[in-house]
Amino acid sequence: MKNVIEADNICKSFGKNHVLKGLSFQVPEGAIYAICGKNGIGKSVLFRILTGFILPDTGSVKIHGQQIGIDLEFPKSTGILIDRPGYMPDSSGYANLALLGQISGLADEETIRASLELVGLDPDDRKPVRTYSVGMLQRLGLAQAIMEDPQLILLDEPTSGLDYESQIEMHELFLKLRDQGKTIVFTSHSPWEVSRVSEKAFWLVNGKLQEEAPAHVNGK
Amino acid sequence: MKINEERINDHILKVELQRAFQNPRWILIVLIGVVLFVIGKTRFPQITVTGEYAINTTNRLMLAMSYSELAFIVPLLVLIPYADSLLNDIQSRAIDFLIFRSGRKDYLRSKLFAIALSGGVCLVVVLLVMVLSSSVYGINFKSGVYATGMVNETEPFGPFNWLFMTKPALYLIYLFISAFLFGITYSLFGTAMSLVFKNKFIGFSIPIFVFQIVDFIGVSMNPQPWYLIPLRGLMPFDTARQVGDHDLLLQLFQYLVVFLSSLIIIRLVMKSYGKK
Repeated sequence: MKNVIEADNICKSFGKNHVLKGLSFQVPEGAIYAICGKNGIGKSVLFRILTGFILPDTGSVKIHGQQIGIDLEFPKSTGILIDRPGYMPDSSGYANLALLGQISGLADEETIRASLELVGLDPDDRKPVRTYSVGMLQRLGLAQAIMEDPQLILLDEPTSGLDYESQIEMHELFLKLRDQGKTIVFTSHSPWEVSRVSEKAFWLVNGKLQEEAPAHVNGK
Repeated sequence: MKINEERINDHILKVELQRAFQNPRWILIVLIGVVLFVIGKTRFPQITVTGEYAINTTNRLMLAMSYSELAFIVPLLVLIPYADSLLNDIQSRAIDFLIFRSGRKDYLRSKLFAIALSGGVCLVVVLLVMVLSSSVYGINFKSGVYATGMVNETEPFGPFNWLFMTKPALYLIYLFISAFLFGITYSLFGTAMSLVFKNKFIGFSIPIFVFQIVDFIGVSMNPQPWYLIPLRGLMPFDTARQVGDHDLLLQLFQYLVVFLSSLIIIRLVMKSYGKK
C-alpha cells in the first residue's frame, strides 16, 4: 500500500533540549495511526513538523510524496487540528469556518454545515467563539479539519477536553472517516484511546519512537 | 513554495480586505469625522459663514483640520480600522489555520496590504466626512481667496499651494492623496509597534508618542527642519508654524522612511514568530 507520510531521521532541538532524536516512520494510505507519549514528551513538536509549522533540524517529512519545506510549505489535501486551536473570537463557529473555506476555496456553505453537524455543533448557532467551552472549540477544530474533504487528517490531541461520551462519538467519527478511505494520524496520551481507535501506535520515549508501549503503560 | 500560489493569493487577499472593510469600526470613524468638524467650526466660526463672504469648501476643510484635534489623534485614528488584526490573529492563534491554507508569505502580504489600505482609506473617509459636514453651509470652489487664522498669510504653504489659489477642487484631491499616504504609513507603523510590544494598547500609543515628540522637537528648532515634522505631510498648508514652502519629494521621503522601517520591523518580528 502507498505511504501517505514518510518521515526520515527527524531531529529537533530547542537549545540544549533534544526533543526528537532521529525519528523515522511511515503511515500507509487509509490507516489510523497514533503517536503516543506522556505530556511534554514532544508529540506536539513532531506534529508541528508533520504539518509544516516548524522544520526539523535534520531529516525530512514527505506527505503524498512531496517534501515539506522543500516542495511545499504546508502539506496538500491535509486537514489539521492543532493543539489549543485558535479562531477569530468575535465570530461564530460557522463564520470562522466560512472564512477558512473561502481562503482554501475548497469548502462551501453546504460542506461547512455538514461538517459542523457531523461533530455535533449547530451551524446556525450565532454565538461568538469566545463563549465556546473547551469541548466545543475542540469539535469546531475537528469540523475545520474535515470540511475540505482532505485525504490525510492530522489531529493533535483531538479528544482533549471532551467528556467520555463525546470521546466515544469522536472515535466513531474517526473510524467512519477511515472507512471513507481517509488516513488519520493523531496524538494522544491515553492508552485507552489508542487501543480503541488506532491500527498502529508509535510511542515517543526519550526523543525516539518505539512500536511497543513503554513499561509503565503496560503496567510492567 | 508552490501550493497553488496564484489561486490562493486572490482568496486570502479578498478575505483580508473583507475583514478590514466589513467591520463596525467604520461607524466610529465616520462619527469621529463629524465630531472633528464640529470642534473645528466651533473654534473657527468663519467656516460656517455663508453667502457672499463664504470661504470655499477646500478652505473649510483646511481650517477644520487645523482647528480640531485631528493633529493630536491622527496617529491613533488610522489604527482603528484594522491595524490590530495581525497581533489579534497571532494572540488568538487564528493565524495557524489561516497560514496553513494561504501560506505564510501570502498571508502576510495580504494582511499588510489590507492594514495599509484601511489606514489610508480611514483618513480619507474622515476628511470626506468633514467636507460633507461642511456642505451644510454650501459647497463652493471659488478660487483666489484664502482664509486662515494668521493675519499675514495670503496663500497656503507647501507643495501645490498655487493649485489652491487657482483650482481649490484639485488641491482638495491633493489633500486627500496626502492623507491617504499618511494613513498607509502610520497604520503600518502602529502594526509594527503592536508586534514589538506584543500589546496593542502599548504598541498603539507609541506612534502618538513618537509623533508628538518628533513634532515638538521639529517645531522647536530654528530653522525648522519641516521634514522632521510628521504633521507637515498631512497638513502641508499649515501656516501656524511659519516654515515656508517645502518640497513634495521630501514629503514623500518622510513617508517612505516610516513605511520601510515599519515593514522591516514587521518582517523581523514575523520571522522570529515563524521559528517557534
